[in-house]
Amino acid sequence: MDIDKIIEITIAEFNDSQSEYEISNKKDFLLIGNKSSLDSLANVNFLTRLEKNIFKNKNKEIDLINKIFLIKKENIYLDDLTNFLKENL
Amino acid sequence: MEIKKISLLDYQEILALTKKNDLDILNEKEWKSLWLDNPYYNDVKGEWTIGWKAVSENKIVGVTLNIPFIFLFNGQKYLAAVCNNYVVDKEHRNISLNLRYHFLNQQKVDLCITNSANNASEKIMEAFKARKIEQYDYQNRLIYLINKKKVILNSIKNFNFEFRKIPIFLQSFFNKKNKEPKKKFSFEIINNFDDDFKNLDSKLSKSGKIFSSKDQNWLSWKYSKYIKTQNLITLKIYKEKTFLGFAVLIKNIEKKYNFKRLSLTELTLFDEEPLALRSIINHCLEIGKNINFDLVDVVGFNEKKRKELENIGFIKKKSKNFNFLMKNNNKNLDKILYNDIHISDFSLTDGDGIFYL
Repeated sequence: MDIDKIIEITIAEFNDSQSEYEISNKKDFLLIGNKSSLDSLANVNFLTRLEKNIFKNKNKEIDLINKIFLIKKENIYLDDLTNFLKENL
Repeated sequence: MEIKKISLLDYQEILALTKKNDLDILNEKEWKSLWLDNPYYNDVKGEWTIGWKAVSENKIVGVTLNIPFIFLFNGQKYLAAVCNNYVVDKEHRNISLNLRYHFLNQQKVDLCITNSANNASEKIMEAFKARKIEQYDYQNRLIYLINKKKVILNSIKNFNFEFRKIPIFLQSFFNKKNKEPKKKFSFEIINNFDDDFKNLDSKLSKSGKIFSSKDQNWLSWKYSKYIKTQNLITLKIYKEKTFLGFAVLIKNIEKKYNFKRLSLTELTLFDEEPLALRSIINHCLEIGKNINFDLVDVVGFNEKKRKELENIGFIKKKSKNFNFLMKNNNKNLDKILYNDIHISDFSLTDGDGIFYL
């Protein structure tokens, strides 16, 4: 399963798991940054699920929550996360 | 939005941010003392990041402080970073992950610790691969009710009497009698840490436990606020004039019910002989009775100490969440920290919880 599909499935799981926050599967969706609609717990929820789905589908462990800040951008969009995963997995 | 290093000059802005979010903060002198009087900070001549701040439109909107502690195991020293004063403005809560990232990914630090995590912090720390400490029964506080009548009456008066706690109160009325051993030990009460505390770490090096430094300079720094306000009681125990160990009690008020509380934050014996342990704990309770305090409370300590406390009559009270988490950056410590619940003897003294009694 490719990264785009894993992310799509994880977004659906995240959205179904609660009703307070919604992630759109769009490149310019802001995950981490001052104006993001997600709070830190919502981000943790999504990224933890993504780690598990990556392991399940690619049999690779990634410490995503620590690694995502290596992107070193003030605002991290879904597109940034996708590209990061494609380059590092 | 930028993440920058904090300076000591940021205190007033951090004070405003903390108060705005209804949290506690030390006064300016005590706050600066976290580093200026810290033995490690002085050793490295200030080459230490005291914390990180999130700045938006020239205003601090989030903060995490970073305090150095030294831990020891088998005579080996380990550098720990303790998280403190973690606060983020509501409208900027998304940036808290960035602050946590900076704290938890420091170079040259063996351990990253918090022992005052709330529910949200607990989840976030675990997401960053910090782990709850492996220690016998840490989730349960231990409480000894000295003034049982006042405790129950105050609880009812505040209309907050939780009926599920009735068994706890009933249990306290049937506290096992303290079995005071024959008088083998003598005690000395002081309100600081004297010369007997010099090189205490080397005396504890064969204890087989991991602990934050008990040397005079470290204890004097850690408890300086309570020494100044005369809320510190150090109880030393001797056998035939040989110093065997000590306990520390901090006088404070339990805010919810307005109880006068003694928090037992140190309980260290070079050889954890049961009779000595029992005797020093009993003496702590005597102190509490003599100065008319309402209860003695304990967070943490190893199984041996906790069982002795329970035998004497302390009762368990479950904490709302597991608040002691640690991220280990030193693989040599994995076996020490996570394989044996008997090696750690952590308590309030081993993190930032000690500063807010």
